[in-house]
Amino acid sequence: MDLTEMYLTQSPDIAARTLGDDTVIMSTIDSTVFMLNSVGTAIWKSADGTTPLSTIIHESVCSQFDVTDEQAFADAKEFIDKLVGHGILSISESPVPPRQAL
Amino acid sequence: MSLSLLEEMNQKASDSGVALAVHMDITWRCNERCVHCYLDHDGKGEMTTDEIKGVLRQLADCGTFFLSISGGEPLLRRDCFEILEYARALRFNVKLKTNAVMIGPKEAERIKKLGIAQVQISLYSHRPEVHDAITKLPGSLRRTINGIKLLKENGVKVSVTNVLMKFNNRDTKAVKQLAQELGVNYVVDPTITPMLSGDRSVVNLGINGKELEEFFRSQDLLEDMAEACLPVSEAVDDDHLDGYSCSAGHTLAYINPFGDVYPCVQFPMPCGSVRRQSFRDIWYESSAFTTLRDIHIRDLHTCSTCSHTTYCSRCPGLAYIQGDMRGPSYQDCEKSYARTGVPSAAMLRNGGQLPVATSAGLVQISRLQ
Repeated sequence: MDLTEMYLTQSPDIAARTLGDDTVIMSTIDSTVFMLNSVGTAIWKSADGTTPLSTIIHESVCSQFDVTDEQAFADAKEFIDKLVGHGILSISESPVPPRQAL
Repeated sequence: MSLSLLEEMNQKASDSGVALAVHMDITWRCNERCVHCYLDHDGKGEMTTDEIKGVLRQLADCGTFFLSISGGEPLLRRDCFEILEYARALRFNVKLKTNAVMIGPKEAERIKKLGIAQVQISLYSHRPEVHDAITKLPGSLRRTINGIKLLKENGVKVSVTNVLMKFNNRDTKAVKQLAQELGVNYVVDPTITPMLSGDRSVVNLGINGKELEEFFRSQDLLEDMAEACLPVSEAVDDDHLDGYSCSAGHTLAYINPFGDVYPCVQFPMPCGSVRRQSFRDIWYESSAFTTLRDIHIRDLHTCSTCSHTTYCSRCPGLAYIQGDMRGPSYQDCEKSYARTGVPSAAMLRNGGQLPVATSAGLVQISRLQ
C-alpha cells in the first residue's frame, strides 16, 4: 500500500481547536490529548478525506516549511501513524465524502 | 487528560487572549426548584435555536475549546440535543450540566454517541428525604441516580457535585460513597452563590463557622489536604502580584440564555449582548472586559496585602456582587479563616470579625435591555 496516495479523514470522535499555529485535539473515546505544532496543524487541516497525502505533503507542508517531499513524508508518517493509532485520524484507499456542511 | 498539556493550552490561550472556555446557559427554566439556586426561572426571551447556533459558530471562530452547556435544566429545551450535536460538529469539548432527571435510555445513548466529554450532575444527599427536599421535586433522587446509571452503562464520563448546605452537611461521606459505588467522580463544594438578582439570603443556607472548619479538616472529603489547607504566606512575590484572581474574563466567559455576556456565571458584570454585537467584539472591545483585565492582584486594595493572598480562592465575582470587584469576597475570607485559623486582612480591619456582606445596588447586574 502506497501511503502517499492514501486519504486522511479527521475522526468525528474528537474535540479540536487551533490556537495560533498550534492545534489541540482531544479524543472523546479515551480523553487522550494531542498538541500539534504548525506542521502537524497543516496536515490536520488538510485531512479532509478527499486530498491524497502526497498533495497534502506537497502543498500544505513543503510549500510552507521549506523541506523536500521525502523529508516531509518521512516525518509525517510517524505523526500519522500515532494519530491513526488513537483513532484521531482514519486512513483510506479511496476518497471519503465530506461531512455535510453546517 | 495530561495536566501539562492542559497548562500549556491555558497558557497559550491566556497569552493570546482567547476565550478558551465558555459556560452557556441555554435556559433558566428548570424542573427542580433547588432551595439554594441563584437563578430565577424565567424563560421569556431565550435565544432561539438559530441564535444559539450562530453564537456557537462565533465561539469556535474565536478559539473556544471547552464549552459547558448548562441551565436551568438544559434538557427542558426541545432543541437541546440539536444544540449539543451542533456544538460537537464544531469540535467543542462539551460538558453537559444537568440534574439527569430527564435522562432515559435514549438520552443516555445519544449523549454517548455525541461524544460529550463529561456530564456534571448535582447530588445533594443519598437520602431522598434530604435530596428531594432541596430540589423540591419528589422522586428526584431516584430519577437522578437512574440517569447516572444509564449514562455509566453507556460509558459516559459522569461527575457529581455535592453542594454543601446546613441540610445535607452530615451526608457528605455517604454521598461520596454513593458516587464511588456508581463509579463516578465526586466533587464537593461549600460555596453558595448569591442570587443573580442580588438577593443574598440563599448564602445563609451554606455551612459556616465550626462546620466549615470541620469540612476543611476532613481527610475523607478533600483529596489533597495539603493543597486545601495551604498556609498563609509571609512573603509574596511579584509574579503573584502581577497575576489575576481567576480566569474569568481572561480565558473564561459566560453567556446567559438571553445572549448577555459576563466574565463568569458567578460574576454578573454585564459585558455586552450577542444579540447586538459579535462575541469577538464584546470579548476584545467591551469596556467591562478591558477594565477587568486591568485588575491585577496588586491592585486589590485589601487582598494584595493579606497574608492569605497567595493561596486564597478569592472570587472576583463574589466581590463584585458585594459591590467592589477590587475588594475582598467575604465568603472567601471565611473559607480562608476556616482553613487556617488566621484572620484575613478584611477581618483584621473589622476588629478580627468577618464583615457582613451586603449586595451593591444591583442596577449593575440587571439584564441588558
